[in-house]
Amino acid sequence: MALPESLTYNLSPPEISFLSENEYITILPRYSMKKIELIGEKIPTLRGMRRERVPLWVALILKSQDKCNIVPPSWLELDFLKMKYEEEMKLPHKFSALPWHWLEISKILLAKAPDDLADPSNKLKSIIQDLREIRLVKSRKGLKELNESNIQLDGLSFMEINELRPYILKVMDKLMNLHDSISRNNVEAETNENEYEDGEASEDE
Amino acid sequence: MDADYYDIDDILAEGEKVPCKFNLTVPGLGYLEGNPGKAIQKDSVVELPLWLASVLAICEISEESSQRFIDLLEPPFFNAKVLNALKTSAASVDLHAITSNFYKMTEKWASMFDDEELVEMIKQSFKDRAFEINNYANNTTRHINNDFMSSLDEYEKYLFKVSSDSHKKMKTWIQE
Amino acid sequence: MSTTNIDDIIEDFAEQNRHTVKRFKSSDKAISSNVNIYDELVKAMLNERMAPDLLPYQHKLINEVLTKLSNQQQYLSDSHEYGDTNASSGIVDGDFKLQLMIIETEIERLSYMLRLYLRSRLSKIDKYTIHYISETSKPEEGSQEDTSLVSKQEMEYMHQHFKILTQLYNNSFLKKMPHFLTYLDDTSGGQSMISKPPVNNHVFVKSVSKKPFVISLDEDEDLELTENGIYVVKYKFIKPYVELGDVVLI
Repeated sequence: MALPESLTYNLSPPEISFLSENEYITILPRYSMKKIELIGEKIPTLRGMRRERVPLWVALILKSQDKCNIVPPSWLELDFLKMKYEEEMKLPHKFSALPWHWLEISKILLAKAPDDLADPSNKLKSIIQDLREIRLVKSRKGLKELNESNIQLDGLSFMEINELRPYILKVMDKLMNLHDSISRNNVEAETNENEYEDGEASEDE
Repeated sequence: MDADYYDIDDILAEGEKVPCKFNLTVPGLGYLEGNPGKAIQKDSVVELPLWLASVLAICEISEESSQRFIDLLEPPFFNAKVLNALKTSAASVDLHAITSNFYKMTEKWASMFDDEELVEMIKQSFKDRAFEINNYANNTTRHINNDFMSSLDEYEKYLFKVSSDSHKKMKTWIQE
Repeated sequence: MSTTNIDDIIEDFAEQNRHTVKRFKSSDKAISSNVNIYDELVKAMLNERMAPDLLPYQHKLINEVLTKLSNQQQYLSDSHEYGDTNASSGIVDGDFKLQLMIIETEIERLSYMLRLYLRSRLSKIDKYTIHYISETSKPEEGSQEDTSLVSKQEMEYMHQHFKILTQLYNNSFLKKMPHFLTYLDDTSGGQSMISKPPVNNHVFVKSVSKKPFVISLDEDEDLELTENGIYVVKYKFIKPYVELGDVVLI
């Protein structure tokens, strides 16, 4: 099988995490390194202690070799995340703005560069967990009113969307199937109107 | 929406038996009601699989007559008792016991009779039940209510599976 | 929390947004040198993964990815050779090895993405073989090399797949059936045997068009899509905008 059933129209969390590694991040190189011409991007010449933006996966390689420190993104900070948490509490029908890859990037940095973060890892982990949970509960409540046509889901991140995706799609598809069992008849009834005009009228309420 | 030819749930739904009333006496069909070799009498009520019943209910007996071979009677899965139970407390109805492919059946039935009211009502029950299914799917550690799980229609079971798989994968990823 | 911090954050977001817009603006038809080819491949992979039906094969993009991959691989093996012969002389330092490691990692990341892209396509070709065989045998298809729905290799795969599948069916049961029951593509009697991609099904989309635009849905309903908005809509209504690059499937 070219693709397992569970991955059709769906992504696994590790796959999304992989995609997030191409987000740019600021590093503080400890040594110099000549520029590299990659296929996707160009890594500029690195000089010691001069900030540079590189893809996260490059930063992780450099970090693992002790060649740089990672400058954590400004949102990966206790005060900021607490503020977001309060926002989530205050506005029960809205998701606070967080980066598209916030869960993935914070997890990666907590695992690979905990010494570069401004706040203690365990505190960051716990506020991230709290944020994730309050948003999950909120999204679950919001899912009470799915329909057969369309919905808008602003404010959720890629990973959060992916978690809800199978449920949302399967419910909406089923509602559509139920709904269409009638509409289709209506369409056919219209096209066949002339033929059956003098047959028994059956569809009056 | 056309059903996929190989959709097993669709095939199973079409095999479900529905009550029908014969509008004429047909020689040789007595075996349908346990009288082999005899004729089936006009006005006899027998249960036929939906795929057969739906054809006979549409075919006209002769060119001049608009009468059909059989009339479809109200099947037990859409009787007033079931519909009332779904209206009052959708999540506590044992759909699986009623018919294991309840929603497929609804689609087929509704499209034959253009029954918009039925569809609207069942859409609402499905939403209520789906919401409950998602709650269960989220809490894999919590004690699973077996009664509820075994009351699910086949599509609902599938919905539970994909939702809980997704949540499980997410939990595993977070903890790894 | 200080105000500068918030400003930084807003700045960050703005920067990210600028970045995304730049990335997605140019459609695949013209891959200029300043477009990140990896990002293009990710976009193609996600679109293909989430779309219920097969999107046109990205001839230009995939050719370019393959060429660049093979060039880079050549460079890598040349460099390793150079590194091996000069290892003892002290010319080659750790820096050099680290650079090669980064280059190698990128090659692996790209080929992984490429595999995901192709696997998503193959799974749809497997599932809807007969449908795509008939789609691709239409006269307007296949004539132009750059716009065909499937690649040459996929075409070959599809026909081979169909051949061994029908052989299997024939040997296991079809040959024992009366001839009129042996068709695999019968469409008479109101029921088609040919499985078709469920284009009515819902998909998640993200609008990447700077200008808001309106799409029409069924029952005279309209929906306005604004930049970075996330929507769930029926695939059939959004498909043209996927191909134009105004939205990406996520």
